[in-house]
Amino acid sequence: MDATCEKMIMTLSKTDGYVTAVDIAAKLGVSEKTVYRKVRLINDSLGIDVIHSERGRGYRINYDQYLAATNKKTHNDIVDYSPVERRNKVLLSILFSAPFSISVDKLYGHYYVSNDLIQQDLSILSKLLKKYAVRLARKGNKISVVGDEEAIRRSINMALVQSNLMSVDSPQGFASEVADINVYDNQFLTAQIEWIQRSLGLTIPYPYNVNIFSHLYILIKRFRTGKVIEDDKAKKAFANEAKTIENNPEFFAVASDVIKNTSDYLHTSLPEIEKGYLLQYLISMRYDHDVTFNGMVSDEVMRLVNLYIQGFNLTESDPRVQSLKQDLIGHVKPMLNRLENHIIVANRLLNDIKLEYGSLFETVKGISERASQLMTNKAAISDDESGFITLYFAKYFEESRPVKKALIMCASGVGTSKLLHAKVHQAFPNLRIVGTLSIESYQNNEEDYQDVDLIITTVNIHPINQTRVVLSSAMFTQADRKSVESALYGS
Amino acid sequence: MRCSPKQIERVLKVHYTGLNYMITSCRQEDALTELERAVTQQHVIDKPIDQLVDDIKKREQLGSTEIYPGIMMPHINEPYVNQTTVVVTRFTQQAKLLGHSGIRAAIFVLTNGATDALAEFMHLLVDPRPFEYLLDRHHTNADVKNYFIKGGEN
Repeated sequence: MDATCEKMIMTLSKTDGYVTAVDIAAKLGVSEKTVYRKVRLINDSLGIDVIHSERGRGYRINYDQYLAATNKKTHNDIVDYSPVERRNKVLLSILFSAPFSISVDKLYGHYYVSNDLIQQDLSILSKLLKKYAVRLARKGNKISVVGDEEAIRRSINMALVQSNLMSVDSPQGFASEVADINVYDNQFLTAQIEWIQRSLGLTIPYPYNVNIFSHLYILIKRFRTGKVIEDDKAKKAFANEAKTIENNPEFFAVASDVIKNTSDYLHTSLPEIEKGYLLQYLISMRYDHDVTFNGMVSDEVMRLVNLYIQGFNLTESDPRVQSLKQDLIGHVKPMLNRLENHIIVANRLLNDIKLEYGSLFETVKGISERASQLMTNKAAISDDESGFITLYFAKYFEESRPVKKALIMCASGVGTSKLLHAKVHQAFPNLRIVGTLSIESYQNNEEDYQDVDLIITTVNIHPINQTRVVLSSAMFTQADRKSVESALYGS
Repeated sequence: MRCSPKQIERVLKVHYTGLNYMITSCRQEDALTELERAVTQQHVIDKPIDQLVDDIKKREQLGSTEIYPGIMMPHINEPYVNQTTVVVTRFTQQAKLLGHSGIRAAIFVLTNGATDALAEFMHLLVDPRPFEYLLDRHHTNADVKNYFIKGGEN
């Protein structure tokens, strides 16, 4: 299933009832024809009609059935990998084993693919690795990679992200996704995260906890499966970290402790540069302000934060904008460290963010492109990073909305209005519902409700004042929800 | 399958935190007749039965009470209702009810005022799962009754 299918499933799963093809097409930015095609594709690929259609109503997903079908498919089709999944798995095997070579038979034994396909895979992998300054070498039946350790680690990280292994919400999620993390490794890695948290007196938030966990996992596996050489380049790289170490003594002490623990766990001596690598991760996380700032915010950070703020035409003197600015500084500062050290963070909420805050995300993405040009190293800000920044703006705009008052009404005041009350509250938690009543009761006490912003009703009414009315179906469909949203906040 | 008052009485009268609760299966033409028979027999209302049906129809004319595809919730809030009662009717095949076609079940709500129990019941219906459960023909009326009593748990 492709990205459009996944987005469609996500869109439908967020709705109680039916959604029309027109609405789905508008939401996903595709044609109605594509919607019909993708629905058929989803149902065919799962072997069961999880998306039901009804003439005049649209589409509805049976989410429980969908989960059951996808779960069953995963268990039954263990070796049925897509070409991308297959290439990622092969790539990870070669990278972890570097500089040792692996035979093609061993790499491709499970997949039952032709020689032509293997050649095609290796050619694609070779091009991909080139971007990371790693060369794919083939000698007879043996495949290996050539490159320095930093480039190999970066390639592994990229392959893990591409395999969606980083799209989890906790280190334990990552451990359960990666087949070869045994119980001892899991315990050791979890203990290191706890060690870092205890030593620094803080909690490492998502997604940075997953990043550090995966970084240490890669380290362990590199030393077990491949061979890590501490060459002059690595020694020089560590020497170049001197200024960072000087500026972050507390973080460096913790990094040194964790590398010492890992060294003991692996029964091998680890190169000094490992402390440097881990230090890069530790200073690339988002912490509470006072931990990272130490009163120092670089000009570059301020320049980027101001660019984002100005991109939305926000007035800096507004205290809420000041608060947003502090949040952005807290994010952008470590983000610059990540970009400089090629640390990738996967944002598992990205699809949700694009769906819920599509236009906001596009604006942030546009600003991110301009921000890249302002940065010293001109590194591209990924969609994952732009997604995180979007959330700060989403929070700001959500909180900026004034609290509105609504009245919910039906003929009797006890049937559909009660149900509507619960559904409206669920969809608009910030909306203050001042009453649920019958039309008669409203008409007898109309003056008591002069200050409500909106009346949501399942039966037609004509208030004497100018209060806005949304006539909703008892089902409170997606279209009803949109009408309420538009009445409250404009379209 | 036509349901007799005896069947209704045997299976269905349970109390869910103050709600008088009945569940039955019917053919479409029997729905309102069976509703009348059940509620008069259990003294949910003492009025002439025509009044109940008239009030339900009047309410429906004001706006549809279809709360989920194929499920309606006709309801009245009238002083002549002695006890807040929910009558769930499952149709043996898609039916026409109160001017709506393609109806597979109806949840009749009769009350004489808002109660906490009714609010709790409505809250249960925010989730689509009770509707799916109700429509699933593998679940017997007893299963459905049990499901609602437990507030949406199997």
